Amino acid sequence: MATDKGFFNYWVVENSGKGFITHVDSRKFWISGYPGNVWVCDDIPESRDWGARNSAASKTKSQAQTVVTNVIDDAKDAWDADNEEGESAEEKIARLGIKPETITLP
Amino acid sequence: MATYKEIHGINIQYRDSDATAVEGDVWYNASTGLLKMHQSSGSWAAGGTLNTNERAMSAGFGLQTAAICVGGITSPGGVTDVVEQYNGSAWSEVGDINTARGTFAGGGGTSSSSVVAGGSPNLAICESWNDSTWTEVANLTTGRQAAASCGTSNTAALIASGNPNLAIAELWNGASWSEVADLSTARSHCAGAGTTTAMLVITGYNPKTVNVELYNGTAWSEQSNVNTARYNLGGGGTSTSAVIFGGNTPSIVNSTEQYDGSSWTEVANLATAGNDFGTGDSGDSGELAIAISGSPPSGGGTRGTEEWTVAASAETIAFD
Repeated sequence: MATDKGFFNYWVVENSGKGFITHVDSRKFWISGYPGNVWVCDDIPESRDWGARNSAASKTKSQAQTVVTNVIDDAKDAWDADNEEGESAEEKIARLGIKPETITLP
Repeated sequence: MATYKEIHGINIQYRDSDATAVEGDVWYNASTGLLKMHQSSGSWAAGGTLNTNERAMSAGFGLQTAAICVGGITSPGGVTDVVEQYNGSAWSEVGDINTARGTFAGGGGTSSSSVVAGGSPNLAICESWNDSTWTEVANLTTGRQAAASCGTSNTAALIASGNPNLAIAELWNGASWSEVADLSTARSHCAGAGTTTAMLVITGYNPKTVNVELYNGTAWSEQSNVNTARYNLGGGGTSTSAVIFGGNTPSIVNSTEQYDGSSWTEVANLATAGNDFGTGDSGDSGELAIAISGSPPSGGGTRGTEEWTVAASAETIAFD
């Protein structure tokens, strides 16, 4: 059982497409997705029902943060390693987008 | 302070149920003991998942119930020619475009009749879709990528601005592109909404700008600025009912703004922050839109979609 959730639930589950988050869900509770298939929701009965409906794996905040951080760190490393000869910093951003930024879960 | 009766001419009604309300109504539900009101609000929901390739920077057109996603960037340096159609619940693969590419200038139309234009690196090539095959058609006058676009079919589209920091706009009539009036503010990586005679070009990179311009078929005019300047965003709708979402500020954000023809309002966020969406123009109003694929904060692409819907519902009025 999670012990550091505070006001939120933390889940890991892949977005399965249509019906994964419905308009009814979005109107009933706040939900936000993060890299690594991490989802953070208001901790209310309706969001717990959403997690059960999607067979989501419940995580503590620190566990969820670790998942997100690992994905972002890998993405940062990949971004740093992807260089083309003679390319300026601006050209690299135009080609790859900005370097992935650290994300701190609420 | 004015009372409800002074404003509306009637007292708050006592009702046995929440049925038959119209937007703006306030009533007391005698059965539940709750004060209620009927209001419109928007929300995002998960849409169908693309079948092939996590991708970003595709071209996308159409409605929540009939959309198309064309090509895109599949990984840094990788591009795809795959095209998928959406029926409101599932995506299915249809004919490939002739030239794999991403970061389109845009295009416009419907899932069954559209034109895509340009692409990276500042290409001028264009292709027309007739619900069966893609055919190369006349090139843009000025090659470009990451423009704003809109259109209603494969014979009517408008491309405006785009990389490299252009103010030029071009009109497609089904046979050729012709330049129309220039925008006042050159930009790229912006959003478009509307039709070829009533088009909004919204925010973008110039560096980033809050500026919005409206084309009326003849000239561009300044409109109300967006609240948050952003680029690589998604957007769609009409010139009087539009929505924009996500993008870079430069951080990748999930915020959404809705336009009512007069001003922009912050509304519910995307479930997942993203940029470089496949969404081009949407034939719907700003009350119905679809965000196709895009790039999440960890980079790369996605196969996911989200659908934006504004609907009226009976809400309980809570008191602290």
